[in-house]
Amino acid sequence: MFLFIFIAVPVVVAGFLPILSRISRKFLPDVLANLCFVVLLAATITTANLWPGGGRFCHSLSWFGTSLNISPVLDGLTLLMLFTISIISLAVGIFSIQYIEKYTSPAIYYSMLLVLVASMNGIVLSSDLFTMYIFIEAAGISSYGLVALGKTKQATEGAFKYLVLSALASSFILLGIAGVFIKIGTTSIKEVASFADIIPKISIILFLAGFGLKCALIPFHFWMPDAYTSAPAVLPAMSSGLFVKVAGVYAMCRVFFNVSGFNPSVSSVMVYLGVISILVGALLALGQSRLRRMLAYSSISQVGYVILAIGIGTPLGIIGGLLHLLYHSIFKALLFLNSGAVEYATGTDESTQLGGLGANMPFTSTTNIVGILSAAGIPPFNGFWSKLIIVIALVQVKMYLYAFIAVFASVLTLWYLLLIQRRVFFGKIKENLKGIAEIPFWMNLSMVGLALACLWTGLSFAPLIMKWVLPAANVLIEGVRTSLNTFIIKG
Amino acid sequence: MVNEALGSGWMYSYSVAALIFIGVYCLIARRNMVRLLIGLEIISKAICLLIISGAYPHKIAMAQALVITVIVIEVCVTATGLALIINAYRQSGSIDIREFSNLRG
Amino acid sequence: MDILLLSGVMLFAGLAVFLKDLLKAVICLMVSSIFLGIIFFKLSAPYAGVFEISVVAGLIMVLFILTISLTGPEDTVVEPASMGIFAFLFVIFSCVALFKILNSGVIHQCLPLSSEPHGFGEVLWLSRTFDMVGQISVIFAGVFVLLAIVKAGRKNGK
Repeated sequence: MFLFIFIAVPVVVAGFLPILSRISRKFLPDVLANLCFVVLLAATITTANLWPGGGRFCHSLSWFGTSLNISPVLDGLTLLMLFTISIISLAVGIFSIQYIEKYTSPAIYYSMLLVLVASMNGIVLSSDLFTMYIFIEAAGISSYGLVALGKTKQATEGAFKYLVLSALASSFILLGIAGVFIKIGTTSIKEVASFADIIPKISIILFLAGFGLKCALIPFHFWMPDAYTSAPAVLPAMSSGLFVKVAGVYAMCRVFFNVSGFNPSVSSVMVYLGVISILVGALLALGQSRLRRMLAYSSISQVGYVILAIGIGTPLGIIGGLLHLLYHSIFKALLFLNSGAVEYATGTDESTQLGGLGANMPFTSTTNIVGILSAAGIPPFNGFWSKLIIVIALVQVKMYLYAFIAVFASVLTLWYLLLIQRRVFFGKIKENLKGIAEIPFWMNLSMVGLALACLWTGLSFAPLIMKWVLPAANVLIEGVRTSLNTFIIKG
Repeated sequence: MVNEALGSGWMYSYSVAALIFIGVYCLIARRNMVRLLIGLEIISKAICLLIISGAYPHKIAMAQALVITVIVIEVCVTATGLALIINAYRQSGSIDIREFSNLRG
Repeated sequence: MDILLLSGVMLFAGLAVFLKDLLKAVICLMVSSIFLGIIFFKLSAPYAGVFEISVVAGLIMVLFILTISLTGPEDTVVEPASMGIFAFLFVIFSCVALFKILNSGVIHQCLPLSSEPHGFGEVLWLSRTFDMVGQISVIFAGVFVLLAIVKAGRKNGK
């Protein structure tokens, strides 16, 4: 029963919110939704403490004695993703208490957010490829709705382009699953893994294309800048911080490590796509002047780091990649929420029209600096440790050129982020911005919380790795080892 | 497999491939927003045909369960897309996807 | 007989891409769905056939026709002569696809699956119950998103 609450509680609360909003328009939805997120975070930490530290844990539900066939499965990788999802969703939920008033009624917004969180929990908890696909679609539909909340013409356009490209990606994934189903006769992950050598090659290619589109690797990145630019800032924080990782990186890892074998060709494709994403994302971010567009390209670059590190296949690489996944969610959500705060206070996020906001908005400015330093990998913030581990892993397998590219892109990241910081927060304040006040309390609280999380996860990265990342990495390393064994036995 | 049962399995494979080609061509080459949704519909039809014709006659019950779920998802996505089209038309009076290119870059 | 049905599906799908009048294109799509439903009936998948005909050829087409009536029936976008390019590419694609399919056998023998002991109802409700939870999430997501988009449109336009 316990694992199922990760999916059931948000959906049930989301179902009740529109009805409850008739009673009290603002207070009750805020309280209920954020209470739900707190409960999810507490449940994640409790599960982590109760969990023995290895192996898979399957929970079958039963209803009045007869067993329903709902069995969410928990292993180390799932636990890491649940932790990431609950932290970021709590931060975004608190931020949107005052932010979302401008866009729509809080009840509808929180319902969509809760369904998004429930679907992402469903993606990581499912033990069946087709169930994973259904939850990916459910989360995608909520994302399209959240983008369209922007209400301007550009928001609707961004939402439609995002819908078409994302539905195309889902069709590729579904084609891959159909291919697997026809060949093998089942879609359950465990059973497909035991027949891993007869998975049709076309399915692997389709999975790569589909999941690559979902996590915005180059050359599949076209939807991300348009979808993020005009949406309310909470959407890019949730999407880039969570949905891209869950529906893209997590699903890719699950399929390529635990289902099909981890053969060298898949590894090299992941490494190439990762390196190209790192470079092209960083270069494209240099020329942007709109805050959110630049952060979208920066996201493409950082997800490239994660895919590169996991694609190497060595234990250190996988640990580095998963750690960067967790840390990137935290600092990227912080940066996007900051851009939302700037837009809330001044009405625009075009950096050429802004300037000198640091005096009037001290909290925003400081948390932005924390986010930038984390993103660029400066100690003692969290980005430094994950990038260091990735670079060491690259040097360990003698990919010196890629290690150099990783460090170079990190320097580029620092450059363009600092450029924007200087333009927006430092310098002389412009005439029309003289009267800007600091943002309201709850938005502030959420951003300060995330900034403190950046600092804390940076300082205490070792216990964090031991407790959360190492079990997750073990699951993936298990997959590598299994496929190597098969390879050796066969060949 | 359809191959053994009906002796004409190659036709089903070819139809699936052709339908996917038609659907992807529609997505690439047409500019009207409603036609892009028609293209997505055609691709979904191709996938349903693939699932059912591939699983005949062994696993036809599970294939039906999968196809019904896929159709439900398809309804929700199409309804969302059509609502966005209606909004786009109200905001700007045109449903040409190329006119909405000012975000490109 | 199968060839007729399958080519019916393909032909009407192709027509739906190229007809200039959006309403006629949607009706071609509807006819294509009906043909597909008949194919499902022939492959002894009655539930899928019923769902396909009633939901796709019914509900989705109603939604399309609603949208078209709200935005104008004519495809006012002018296209270059794309039908020639399409026919050319399609012929090349068909030759390649038929060659690969008839030669190598993209269709291989499935695993020796035991035929299922359960009927359709039991499979849907007993073994794929988690999918039902997923479908509930999808339906909730769709309903909330539609509410949000309709509210947004109403505040802006009218």
